Amino acid sequence: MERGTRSRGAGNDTVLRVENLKTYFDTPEGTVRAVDGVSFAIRRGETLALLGESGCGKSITALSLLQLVPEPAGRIVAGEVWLGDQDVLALSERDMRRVRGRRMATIFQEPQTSLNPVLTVGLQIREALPDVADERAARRRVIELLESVGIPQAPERYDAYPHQLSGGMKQRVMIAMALAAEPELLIADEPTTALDVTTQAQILKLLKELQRQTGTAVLLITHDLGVVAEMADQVAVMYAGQIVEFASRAAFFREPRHPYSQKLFRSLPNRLKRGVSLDVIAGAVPRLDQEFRGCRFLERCDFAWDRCRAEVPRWLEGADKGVRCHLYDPPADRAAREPGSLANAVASEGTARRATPERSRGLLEVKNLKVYFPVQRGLLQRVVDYVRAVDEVSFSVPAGRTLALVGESGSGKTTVGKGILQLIRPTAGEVLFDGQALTRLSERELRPLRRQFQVIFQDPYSSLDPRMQVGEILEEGMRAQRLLGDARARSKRAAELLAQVGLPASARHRYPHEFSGGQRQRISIARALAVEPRLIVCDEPTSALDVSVQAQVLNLLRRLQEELGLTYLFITHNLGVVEYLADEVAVMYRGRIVEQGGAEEVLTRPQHSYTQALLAAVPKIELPAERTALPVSGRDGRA
Amino acid sequence: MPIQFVFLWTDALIYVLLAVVSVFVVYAVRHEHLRAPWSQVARRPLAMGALVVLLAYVAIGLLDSVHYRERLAKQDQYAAEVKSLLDTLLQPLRTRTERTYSAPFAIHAFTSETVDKPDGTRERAYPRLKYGGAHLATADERAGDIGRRTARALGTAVLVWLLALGVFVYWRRLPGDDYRAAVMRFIRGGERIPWRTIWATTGVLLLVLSCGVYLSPYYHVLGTDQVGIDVLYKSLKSVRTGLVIGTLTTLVMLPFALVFGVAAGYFRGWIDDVIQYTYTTLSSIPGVLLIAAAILSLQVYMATHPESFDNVVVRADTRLLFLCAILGVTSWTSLCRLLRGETLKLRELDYIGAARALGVTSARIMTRHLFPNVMHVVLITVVLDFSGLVLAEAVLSYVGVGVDPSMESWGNMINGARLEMAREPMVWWTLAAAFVFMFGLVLAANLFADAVRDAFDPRLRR
Repeated sequence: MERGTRSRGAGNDTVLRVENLKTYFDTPEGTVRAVDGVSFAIRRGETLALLGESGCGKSITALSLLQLVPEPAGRIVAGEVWLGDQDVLALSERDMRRVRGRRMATIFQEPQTSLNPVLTVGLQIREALPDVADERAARRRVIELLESVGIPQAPERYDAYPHQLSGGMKQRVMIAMALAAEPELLIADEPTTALDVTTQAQILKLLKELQRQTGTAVLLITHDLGVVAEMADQVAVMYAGQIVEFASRAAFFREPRHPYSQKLFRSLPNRLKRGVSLDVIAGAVPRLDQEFRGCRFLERCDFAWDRCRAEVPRWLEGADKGVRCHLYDPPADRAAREPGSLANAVASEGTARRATPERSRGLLEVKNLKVYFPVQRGLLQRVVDYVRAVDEVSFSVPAGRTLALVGESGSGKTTVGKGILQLIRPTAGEVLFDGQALTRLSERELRPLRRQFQVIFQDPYSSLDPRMQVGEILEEGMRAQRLLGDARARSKRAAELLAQVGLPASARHRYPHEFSGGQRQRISIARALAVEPRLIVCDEPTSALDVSVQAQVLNLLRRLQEELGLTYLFITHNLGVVEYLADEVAVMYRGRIVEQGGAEEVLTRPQHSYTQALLAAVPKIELPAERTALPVSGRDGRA
Repeated sequence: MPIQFVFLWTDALIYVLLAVVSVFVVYAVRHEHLRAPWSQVARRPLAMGALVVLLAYVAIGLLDSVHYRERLAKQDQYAAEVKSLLDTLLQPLRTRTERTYSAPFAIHAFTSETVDKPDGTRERAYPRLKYGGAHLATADERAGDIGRRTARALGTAVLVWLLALGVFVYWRRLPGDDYRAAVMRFIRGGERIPWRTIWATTGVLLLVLSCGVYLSPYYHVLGTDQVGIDVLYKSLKSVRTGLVIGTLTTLVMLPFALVFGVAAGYFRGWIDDVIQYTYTTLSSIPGVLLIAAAILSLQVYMATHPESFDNVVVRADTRLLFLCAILGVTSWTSLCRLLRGETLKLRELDYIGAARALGVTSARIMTRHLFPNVMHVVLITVVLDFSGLVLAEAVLSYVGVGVDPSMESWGNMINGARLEMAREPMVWWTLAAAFVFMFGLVLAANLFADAVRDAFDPRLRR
C-alpha cells in the first residue's frame, strides 16, 4: 500500500498523522468510496490546507478524524488516525467525546447555524471550557477568549444572543469556542466561505495570529486558492477521494505539478485572461461508486495516455512533496507516452480576442434609484423608519457592454438588480430601458417589455422549478410572451437553446435535479435567452459553483455576448470575475455607489477608501507562470 | 327494466372522487417527481399491508354506493325502498332480524320472555332465536357445527388463496424461468414491491371473509342489537359512512384551502389580510357549536319541506352531505394556514422571480409553479386528516349532531352502546364491533399516511 507522507510525520512535533484513511458510504446505488486512502501529517504550529472542489471528500475526511461520519450509511473501513500518541479511531464514542472539542476542535462553514440561537454566546463558550469549577473564573476566562478573538466590549457581549452579532462576529465566537479548550488541532472547514471578503481577511488574520500565539496545528479545508495562499504552510490537493498532490505552499504556487492543480490555476478568472477563454476542466468528477482501473482524473486530463487508463497512478514521494500522476513516473516507466497530447493541451487555450462593440448610449439608465423597506412597529404597524437598501443609485450601461456591480453582502446590489427588473418596485428614482421609464409602467404594461431584460440568479438549486421538466421551463417564457405559436416550434427552439448553452436536446425531458450545479446554471441562461433579451442581469451567477465550473459558465456568458451582442449587468463580489469580464465597474457600499468607472481604472487606481479596502482584502494569489506542464526530467522530488 | 338506479348526492361525489383519483394516478405515473415518492411508499411492507386493508374497506364502501330500486313483481312501478349492491349481497343478514338482543353465535335470546307452553302453562325462558342457529336441534350441537363450518371456511380460503397466488407467480415469472424457480424467487422475497406482505395480508382478509360467508347465514356472528338487526350487517354498512366523511370532507375543503392559502401567501398585502382575518375568525368559533347549529337548522328545513325529501335514505344522505360540508368549512383553516406559510417561503425562491421576470401572469404562476410545489403538503394533510375525520364522525354522532339516526354509522352504534353498557349482564358486542371495524380502518389509514408523509416530506429526504 502506498505510504503517503509517513516519512514527514516521523518527528516528535507531529500533532496529527493520518494513514491510509478510507471512509465508504453504503447507498442504494452501491458503495461510494468518499475517502479512499488518504494519508497526511500536520506538525505543531503548522497549517495544512486540504484543497479541493465540492464532492472530493475533504469534509468527509475531517468528519472521519472526529469520528462524526453520518451513520449508519457511512463507515470508516480502514486507516489510522494518530493524535499525538493516541490512535483516535480505536477510541470508543465515550472516550471520543473527551477528544472532540478538547484536543481536536472544529470551526464550521456556517456561523449562522453553528450557534444555538436561544443561548447567549457567553454560555455557549462556557460550555466548551474544560472543567472550571468557579463560576466567576469561568466568566473571566470566556471574556478573555472573546477579547482574544477581537470582539470589542467583550464583557457586554457575554450576554448577547447570536442574532445580535454579525456574521463575522459569529465566526469569531465560533473560533473562541474552538480555542476554549486549547486544542492541539483545529479543524477549520471552509471557515470563511460564508463571509465577505473584508471579513474573511480579518478572520484569516486572526486565525494566523492565534496560531502563532498558541502553536495549534490547523487543518484548513477549503476550495479557495486565495485562502490557501494566505494561510497554508502545506497544501494537499484532493480529487475524487484521494490526495493527488502534496507540496509546501511556495512550491505549490510556484509550480503546481498535478494536471488537476494546474487546471485549477488556469480556470481562475483574472485580468490577464481578459478576452481569452478560460481553461475549463471538461466533464465532471467521476462517480465514486466504482472500482478505478486507472487514474481518477483520466477523463478530464489533457495529458492522459494509455498508461493512465490501464494503471492506477502511484503516490510518488519526494522531499516534502508528492504527486499522484503517471507524468512523474521514473523515466524508464514512461517511455510509451504519446507525444501528441501536449500539443492538444496548448491548443485548447483559445486566443479569441474580444470584439469590442462600439460605444453607444446607455441601453439601461438608472437615475437616483431608491428602494426603501419600511420598518413597522407597534400594534398598528406604524412605519417608524425605513431601511435604505438602495439609496440614490445612478449608473448607465451601454448596449453590448458589461457593467459589474461590486459589493459585499448587504450592500444592496441584489436589490438594485430586482429594482431594475421591477421585481421590487423602487421607492423613488427612474429606471430607463432603451429610453422607456419602466418605473412608471403598470404590471400589465410591463409584461410585453419583460422579454427584453432577463435575469440569471445565484443559486442554481432554487432558480429552477423542481416540478417542471427542462423543456417546460424553457418554453414558459416563450409562451408567456407569445413568441412562437405552436408547440412544435417552441420545442424546436428549446432544443436550439440547449445546444447554444452546450447541453444535449434530450435534456428537455428531464427534471432539474438530474443536473449538476453548472448544468443548472446553463439551463437558467437558456431560459433567459429563450425570449431573446437585450439585457441580462446576472446576479452572482457563478458564486455557488466550483472554480472549474465557474470557468465554463463565464466562458459561455462571454461567448453569448459576442454572438448576440448582449448587455450584462453583472452583480458580484468576486473581483477576479470582475477583472475578467467587466468593462465598467460600480462599487456599492451600504446602498450607495461609492466609486464608478472603467474596470481597469477602478481596479488598479481605486480612489475611494472602501474600494481600496476591498481590493486589499482580496487574497493575493501569485499565479504560477503560464507554462506547460511537462515535467523536466531530473527534477528533484521524483523517486 | 328490472331496476332503476338512484344517484344520491354522496354517490355522485364519490364517483367524482374516484375519477379524480384515477386521473391523479395516471398523472403521477407520467411525472417523475410524483412517481418517485410513490414508489418509495410502495416499497414499504407495512404501508402496502395497510393499503390492502384500506382497499378492502374501499371495496365495501363502493359496493354500498351503487343504489337502486327494484321493480315490484306485479305492479308497474318501482319499490319505494332504495337498496345498494351491498344490501343485495348481504340480503340474508339484512332480512334475518331477531326480536331483540342476542349475543354473538347465540342460539337463544339474550333476554328471558314469557313463553306459552303447548300444555297451556306459561314460563319465563330464553326462547330459541328465529334465525340464529335455527338449523340446530339442540344447543349441544353448536360447538361442533361452528367448528366444522370454520374448518370448511378456512379450507376454501386457503385453496382460493393458493390458486390466486399460483396464477400471480406464473404471470410474474421471468422469461426463461421455470415455475419452480419463480416460486422460490417469490418465497425468498427481496423484490422492490413487498409482494409477500401484500399476499399475506390478502390471505388474512380472505380467511376473515370466508369465515363470514360460511358462518353468517347460520349465526349472528357479532350478535344482534336492540331491535334484532345483525350487528355485522350494521358494521359493514357503517364503512361507507366513515369513508364518505373521511374523504368528501376533504374534497369540500380542498379548493378553499388551496386557493385561499396560496393566494394569501403569494399576493400578500390586503388579500392576505382578508384571508387571514377570515380564517382566524372561523377557527375561533367552537367547531362543535357551529356544526350543531348547522345540523339543527337543516333538520328544521327538512321538517318544513318534506316534499323535497321523499324517502328516508335521501334524508339521511342529505344530512351526511351537509355534515361533510360543515366539517369541511370548519377544518379548512389549518391546511390553509399551512399552505400560506409554504407559499410565503416559495414565493421568495428564484424560480418564481424568474417566472415573473419572464412576464408570466400571476394566475399561471399559481397554477404552474405554486400548486405543484405545495402538493406534498396537501397530500400529507389529506391522508393524516382522514382518520381524524372518521373519529370526529363518531364523536359528533355520539353527541347527537352527527349523521342521521336512521343511518348506519359507527358513531350511532357507539351512541346506542352507551345504554347497553349499563345493562346487567352487559351487552358489549355492538361497541366491540364498532370499535374493531373503526380501529381497523383508522390504523390502516394511519400506517399508510405515515409512509406517505415520509416519502413526500422534503425534510425527511435523504
